[in-house]
Amino acid sequence: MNKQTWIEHLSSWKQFLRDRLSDTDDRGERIKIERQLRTLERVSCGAALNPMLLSEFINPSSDLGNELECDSFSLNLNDSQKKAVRAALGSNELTLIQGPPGTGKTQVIAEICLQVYQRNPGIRILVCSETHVAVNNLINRIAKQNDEIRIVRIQDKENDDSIDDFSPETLISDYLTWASASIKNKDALSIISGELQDSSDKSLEKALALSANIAGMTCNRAAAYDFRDSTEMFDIAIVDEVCKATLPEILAPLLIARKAVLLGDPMQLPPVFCSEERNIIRLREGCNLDKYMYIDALFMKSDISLMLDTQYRMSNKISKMISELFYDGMLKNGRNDKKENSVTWMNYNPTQPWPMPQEESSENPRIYNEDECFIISDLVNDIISSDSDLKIGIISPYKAQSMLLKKAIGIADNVQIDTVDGFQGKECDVIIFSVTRTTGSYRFLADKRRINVALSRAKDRIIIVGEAKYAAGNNLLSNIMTYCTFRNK
Amino acid sequence: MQVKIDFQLNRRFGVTERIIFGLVMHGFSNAREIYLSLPVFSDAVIANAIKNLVNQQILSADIETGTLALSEPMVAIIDMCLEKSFDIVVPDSLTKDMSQEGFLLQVERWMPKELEDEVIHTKEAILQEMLPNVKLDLYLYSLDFVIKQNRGEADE
Repeated sequence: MNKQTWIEHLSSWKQFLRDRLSDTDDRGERIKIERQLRTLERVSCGAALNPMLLSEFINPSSDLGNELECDSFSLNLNDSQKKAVRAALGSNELTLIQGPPGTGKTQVIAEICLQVYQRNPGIRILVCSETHVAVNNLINRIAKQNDEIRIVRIQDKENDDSIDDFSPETLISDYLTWASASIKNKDALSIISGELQDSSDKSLEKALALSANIAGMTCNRAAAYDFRDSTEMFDIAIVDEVCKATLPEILAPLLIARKAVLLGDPMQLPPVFCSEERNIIRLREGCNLDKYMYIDALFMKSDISLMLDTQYRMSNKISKMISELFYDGMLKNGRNDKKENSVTWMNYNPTQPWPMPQEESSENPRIYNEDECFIISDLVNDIISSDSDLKIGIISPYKAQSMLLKKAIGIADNVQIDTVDGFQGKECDVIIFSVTRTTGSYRFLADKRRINVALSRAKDRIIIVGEAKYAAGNNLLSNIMTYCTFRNK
Repeated sequence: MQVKIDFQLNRRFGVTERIIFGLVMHGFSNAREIYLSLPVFSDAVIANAIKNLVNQQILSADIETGTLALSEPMVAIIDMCLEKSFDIVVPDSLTKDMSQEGFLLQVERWMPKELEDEVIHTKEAILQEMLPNVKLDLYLYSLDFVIKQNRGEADE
């Protein structure tokens, strides 16, 4: 990026964060914003533990650097995955890997971790993502492959039992049990256990993170510690779902690592800005922070990013549709499973326009559609009665419709109902997509990234429930219809 | 004001430094034994902690024998804390919240510049009073002092 443009973009972010800080009283939010501001200050004065990495992020070189020769892989990988691993292990400071849906990003991250650990058992890898859930998934995958790797997972707010083994509390508790049995000198034991009492001590978390081969945390958490010099640097920072993170979130791990591997997909969801944040952006003239994403632009420079090109999630027809509509036909199908009627459009005649006119004209319209709720409820019953093991996902672009669907269908183990944002990173055997609107703006429905995420969650079958006449008025939806088998309700 | 003084490592030292310092202060000097007793931390983290303590002249290390010890100035400071009371001028702004347990003299993030300067000057005065002929500026930012009013033997 042009130096002046970068400086302006960074200063726009700083101003936005300062406005946000003066706008909120929420303690957790303030801590997060202060950390992000500190990160941006450090970036402004080049205070990165490896300034070369920061420089590569701002102004990337035009080639991928030398890949590392590597013939033996621990996991089963396809050619594009192998190429991505070799590039990540190579001489370049920064590696960008685009991972479309179902292309095995987590598998690639696990292989990178295993490879670098085999080469250096003292390696420090920082594994970050914008959400706790994504970090937990990665840690679980890596832990399954090698039980000798030292792992710590900092601050697990999601309370996911499967990664509890790696929390600071568990590590310290296990150590103290060992210490009580092994350290005979009572004074020494008392000094050590006295200092380790406070498991929320940041310096303890930091020491555990630097002692581990793999430290998992969110990007924001990585900015919570004061890493002083290159002796406290991570060898590699791996940031997953990087296109869902904001610039300050992405920069935090880059400041404390020798090299970085960024994995994401600019064709899936961008970061979410809450209504307060959008208000601040709207009030500032010329501010486009919710529209222009630097990381997307970086991925679009095709000469420095690698793409995982084979998907294993979706059956043939779904795969073809996703590849052609969103990836210019570049996404190959590695599953090769021909399912009958795998993409269906369920058309119906609405009993009235949805949303109702009074909702559409209100200040905070609630976009829902009772007709589609009834149809979907029947569909779910039919699917479950034919095969009760199928995992069903019901997605709507609108929160009010998701809530209404939850009410109508109730809670079931194998049925998950959410908005598109709640589904990124997940998959289901059957996806039912509720178009919801039969009138008005196509805003969410015309958003390629959002629709890509919604439809690409499906493994075997997609059923789109929507009024065909309304959908035909939008390019993206009418293109989707060309892949569908039609049914009328 | 007649005061007794104790000290602790400044917050910029982390948990590993505090443990190692505590162990050495209580006579555990074998570096290898210290490593072996802390498997929860990697060798690199422990080595870095020892390096920080040695660089700040809190500890000294004998590479040949693999032993750690308190640095000479630290031994002198500890002796002074144990044996002596001091007559120093502590600014009212610092003593107003002094309790029976005394108060901790340390620079806090929230402190205005003037108060921060007073803390540093008081620390300088303490070190000067303790060891008048030794230059101990290095410890101004590594050690924090606990100041307790000396009420005499009868009160203790």
